[in-house]
Amino acid sequence: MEKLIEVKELTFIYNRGTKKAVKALQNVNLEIMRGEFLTILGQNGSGKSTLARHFNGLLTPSKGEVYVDGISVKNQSQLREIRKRVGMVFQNPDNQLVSTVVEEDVAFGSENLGIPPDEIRQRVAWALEALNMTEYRKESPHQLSGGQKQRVAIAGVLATRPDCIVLDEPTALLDPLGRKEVIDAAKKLNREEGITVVLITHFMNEAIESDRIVVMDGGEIKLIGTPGNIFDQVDLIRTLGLDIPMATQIAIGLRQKGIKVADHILAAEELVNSLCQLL
Amino acid sequence: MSIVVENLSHHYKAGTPFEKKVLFDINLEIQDGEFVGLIGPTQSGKTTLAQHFNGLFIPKEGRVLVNGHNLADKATDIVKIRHQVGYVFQNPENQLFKETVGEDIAFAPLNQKCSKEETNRRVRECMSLVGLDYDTFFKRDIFALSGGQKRRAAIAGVLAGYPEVLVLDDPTAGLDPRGREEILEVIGRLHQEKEMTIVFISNTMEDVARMAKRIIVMNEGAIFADGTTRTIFSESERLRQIGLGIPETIDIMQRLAARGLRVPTDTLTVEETIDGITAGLAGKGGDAGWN
Repeated sequence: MEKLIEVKELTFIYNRGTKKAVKALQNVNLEIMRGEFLTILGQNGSGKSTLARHFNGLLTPSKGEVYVDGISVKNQSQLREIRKRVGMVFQNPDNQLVSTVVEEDVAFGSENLGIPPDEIRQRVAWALEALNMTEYRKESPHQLSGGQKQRVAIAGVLATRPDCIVLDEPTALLDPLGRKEVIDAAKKLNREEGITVVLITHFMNEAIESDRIVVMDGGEIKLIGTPGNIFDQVDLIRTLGLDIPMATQIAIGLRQKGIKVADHILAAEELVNSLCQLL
Repeated sequence: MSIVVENLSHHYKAGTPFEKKVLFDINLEIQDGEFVGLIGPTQSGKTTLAQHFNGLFIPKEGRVLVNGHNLADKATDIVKIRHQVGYVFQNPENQLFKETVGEDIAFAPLNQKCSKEETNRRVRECMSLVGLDYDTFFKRDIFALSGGQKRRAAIAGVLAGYPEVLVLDDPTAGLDPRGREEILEVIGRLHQEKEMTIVFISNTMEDVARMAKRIIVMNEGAIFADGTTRTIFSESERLRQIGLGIPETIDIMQRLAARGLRVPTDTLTVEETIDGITAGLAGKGGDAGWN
């Protein structure tokens, strides 16, 4: 697989050189592959967002390097090229909507990249379709539900045809349906459009279908692995202030009672299937 | 302290071209000492409804009575009601406005004209209630707190006004699992040890299942359902139709039951679920699945 983002010995210090200097990242090394679905977990303040903001040059390294498709994010003259490749979506959809009509909102990012109007129209139509939002294209974003607003924000990023979308706690403020809509959309873009997805979340259930999980703590990467691998390390995960998925917790409890549940249970469905094989 | 809502309706931006009806004929009663979960899709009216409980909104159609006092009545002391019914907004850390934790928590008692000694006593007590060590955090700069600590400081600030009812609007939103757990523990303690009446607005069904004894479900500005936690979550299809879900524990049990395992389908916690499955498998007879 081909590397899309390469993080090399990255250190980042906020307010560098002042009395309020805070080291937020310490010697981070990571490679994100093209087409990968990567989830970043970690406590508040562990450095997840700081790391992700290097992926499209919102922040630049204090030390070390971050390359996007081979371009260093320190190279300010290439910022536009970097942002064409990596788009970001944040927690609060209300802060990201700029227009009073959904399709204009989705077009905004592409207009800024200087794309011809005909092509923008095609891209907007495609992006809305990919997010199942076509029927709302003439509506005001402010009338939409939280999950719909967030999908409009994602469509806006998608319309710029990035290689990678970074979603920074996109579901934190949403209701259960909204959460599901956004996560399903991210999975679909990954699977069907080949978009590399970097998801930051506090909901363990949203991480279980990732290709890999990165666990951060105190500005460092503590663990990298498949969901099965990561959530097997129950004590360590809890020490790091995180949790394991509910189905996994139930599987562990059942095993302690002597019931032979399969290993690496992450999703409700896996638990149910495993238990039904015992009948 | 009881809250009674009678035939309450509410319009946003009343009298403007943007007027929109957001609450429709709400009737409910919350008794002293209850723990009520208030759930509903985004824009279902749950926050607007809850903001009527302490006079952040004064009813124009219908009535809200707090301990028998009609909030629309001119003789009712609304400031006093706001002290009695504490309201923790969504992302309450955005409202921390003093420099240090101690100063921020002292705001409500000072506002109530408490003496310096009484204020200090309350600050100390409320910091302890939310699990912020007095010596460590009293002089701590607000900006040096973690997300979970900020939120606990904000809750302590509301508690320092000595409310009898606490309304919390999605108090765990955006917190990491440990921060979430800390906040839920604090809320549980306030209910059990301080016997506070709690109204808990949440988008996380697992949290509501664990914490609340009664659930009010809002949809499109009206009450969609009101009942015990087990009853409400047993109606999974109805909840899904309005964009809510059910706790994963119940989802697992319903799937197992559908596949023929005799298990209870109303388990609200991980522990209950483990016990239910264990008993269900044992009840199958034979030794299927057992070591």
